[in-house]
Amino acid sequence: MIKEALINTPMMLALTIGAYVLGVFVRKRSGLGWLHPLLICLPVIISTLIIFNIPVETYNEGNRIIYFLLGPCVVSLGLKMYDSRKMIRENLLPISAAVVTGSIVGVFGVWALGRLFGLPGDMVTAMEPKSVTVPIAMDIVESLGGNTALIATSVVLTGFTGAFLGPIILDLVKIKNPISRGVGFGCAAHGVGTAKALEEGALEGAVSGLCIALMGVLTAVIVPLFNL
Amino acid sequence: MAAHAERPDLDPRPLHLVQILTHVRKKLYICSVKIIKGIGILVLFLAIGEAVSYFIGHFLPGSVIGMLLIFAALMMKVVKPEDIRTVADFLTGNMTILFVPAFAGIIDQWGFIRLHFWGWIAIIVITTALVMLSSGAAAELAASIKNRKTKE
Repeated sequence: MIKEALINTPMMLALTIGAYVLGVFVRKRSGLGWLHPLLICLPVIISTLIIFNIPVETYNEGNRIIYFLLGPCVVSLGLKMYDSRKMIRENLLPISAAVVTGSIVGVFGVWALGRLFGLPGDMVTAMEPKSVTVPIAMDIVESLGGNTALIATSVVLTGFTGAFLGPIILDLVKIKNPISRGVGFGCAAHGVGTAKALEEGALEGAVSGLCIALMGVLTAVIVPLFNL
Repeated sequence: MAAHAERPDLDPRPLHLVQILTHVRKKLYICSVKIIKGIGILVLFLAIGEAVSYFIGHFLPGSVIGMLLIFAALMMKVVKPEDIRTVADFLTGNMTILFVPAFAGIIDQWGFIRLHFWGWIAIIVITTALVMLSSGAAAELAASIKNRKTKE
């Protein structure tokens, strides 16, 4: 009785927001910078759904408003591009060279390694835009008719990998220029990488944030061309 | 005394409660109009983006087209940045929670992913490192070419 009453669509939205706020709260209280809110939020939601045997459809039904906001969120990135227009003009060559290289290497790398490891074709297709920010990557995969849950997870894992390995790799190949470092974080690890780039400096963070939008546009062009 | 008439916050005389409430309501009204306007503009550009996307056979997602269009509109001063900043900063600042629901789908997909788990992880780690190396190196190379040209 109580269970049926509690499993309703607004409750599912409350679960999402509650778990996220809990994640933010735990990170703030523990003072651990690496403890991303998602690392707490996702296990809480997934275990709640499994323990109470709630179908994913019910959960999605309640969170439809959040799905809808992904579209306006991508459009909002246009303002971020506008805000960094001065930086685009000053560093046009390095930034465009990096974004073109990064998006081609990203898409082609996933395809080639997927072939090498013998992964099924639809799984590889759903991973191709994985260096791009989640809302854009999900839209790209959705228009190809792929698996959006797989791309969302792949993108976030990519972000964590990039933020963790980024400083090590960039130090190893002795890339010291703040613009090149920012570009590396933004192209490889989108928002999670940008948070890491911001720790290194404001310029790194700004370049990285700009690369999120540019990588999104270019990958959105390359992935459908690649799958023709 | 004249300055105090223009700046009620500097006026030493006690404010009437009605005055305070009117002031607060005015501020809230301006704020809420800004939010509605911002949402309206963003949704309008998303809608135009979706329409363009339909005509080009969904080659590019509507949201990406909308982003490019609003960037163009901002550059051509058709849209004022202040009109969308409140909403746009809210959306991009809280982006993480927006893709949380997408993960729930992983419950249904887990059986499929588990079969190829290590390949999946290996691809993610290797390509992330490759993208970071290649884009960082490309930026470094382009910057050094540019510097050489300016020196000559």
